[in-house]
Amino acid sequence: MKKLVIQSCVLMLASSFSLTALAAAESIKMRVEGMVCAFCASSIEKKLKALPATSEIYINLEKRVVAITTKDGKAVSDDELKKIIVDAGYQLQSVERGKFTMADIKNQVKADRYKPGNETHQHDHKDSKHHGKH
Amino acid sequence: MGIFIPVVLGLAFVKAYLKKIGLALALLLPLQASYAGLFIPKDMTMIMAMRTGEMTTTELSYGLKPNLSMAVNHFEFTGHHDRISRYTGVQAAYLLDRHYGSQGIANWYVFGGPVTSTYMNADSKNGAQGGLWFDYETLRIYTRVSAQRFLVHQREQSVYTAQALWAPYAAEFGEVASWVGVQAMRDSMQTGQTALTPMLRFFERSWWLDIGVKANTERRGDLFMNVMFLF
Repeated sequence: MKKLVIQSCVLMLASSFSLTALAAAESIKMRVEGMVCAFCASSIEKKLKALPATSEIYINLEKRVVAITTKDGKAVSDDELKKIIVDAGYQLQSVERGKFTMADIKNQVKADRYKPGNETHQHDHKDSKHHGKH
Repeated sequence: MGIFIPVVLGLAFVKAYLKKIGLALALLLPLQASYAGLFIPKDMTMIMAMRTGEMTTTELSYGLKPNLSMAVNHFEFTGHHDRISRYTGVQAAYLLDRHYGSQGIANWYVFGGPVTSTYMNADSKNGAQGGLWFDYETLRIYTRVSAQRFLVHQREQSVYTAQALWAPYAAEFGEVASWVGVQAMRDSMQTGQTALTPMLRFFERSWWLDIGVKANTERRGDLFMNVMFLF
């Protein structure tokens, strides 16, 4: 009986870990062409906030970056993100998915040598999936 | 037919957003003024109020599509010898072109719609207003030129506006952006001269404030104020 209880506990623990792993939170960093005005970009923030998957949002106008981190167990598709950006009047240039914290993303963006309008930018692609022009 | 389509669109807009419009108009009444920017993101509502010397405008606009916004607006101009003309109308603004440059964006809009107008307290007459708007903006530079014409029962009025502003620093998202610049405006109902308005601009996520002092050779010291809320 004791063995059975232990086995059940181990099984439950393992399954909860595997579920977490399946729906783990992720970070999404987007390049948004044309985003130069905070007043206009606020619609992006508003719509991203309304997504059930969104945990944190970061917008950097100088580097034209919009980034979010997602909640555990929630996901957001590239199409949903693209619609939000296009509806706000901008163009989605690229989407990078990774496992970074928002603090990491802020540091990456600030250290980024990307110049808007210049496609040959350098940044850390480690542990991230990069999708090209949308 | 040209006027019918904007009217139908306008009525549908009013019906769909009656509650928001009621709230917005209630907020606008004490301000008695506004002037439109045309960049309204889809599904966003913007209230604008502007007052400057001889001109007062109020506007409520809504982004129907990324390239199309609808507005209801009211304009009041005081011309020579205190002749007052008022226009109330429905307006569609369409983004003709957006150019994405390395530093910023350039936009071409066309806007217009039907108006009902009164002049010198005479009976109201129907007509139309419309115009063209171009702006170019970066994080630290804003320029705009626009031309607007009102045509009501053989009476015409043209208003030309140009703005150039500069930001001493590039504000982060969430910080208050501060700009300094000048607006030039010529109104055919006035003496034909161009009025200059040195101005300051402040905005953050959901609010926008322009404040300045308007001057031409006849009148000086009229307060210029433009307020916008986005929600």
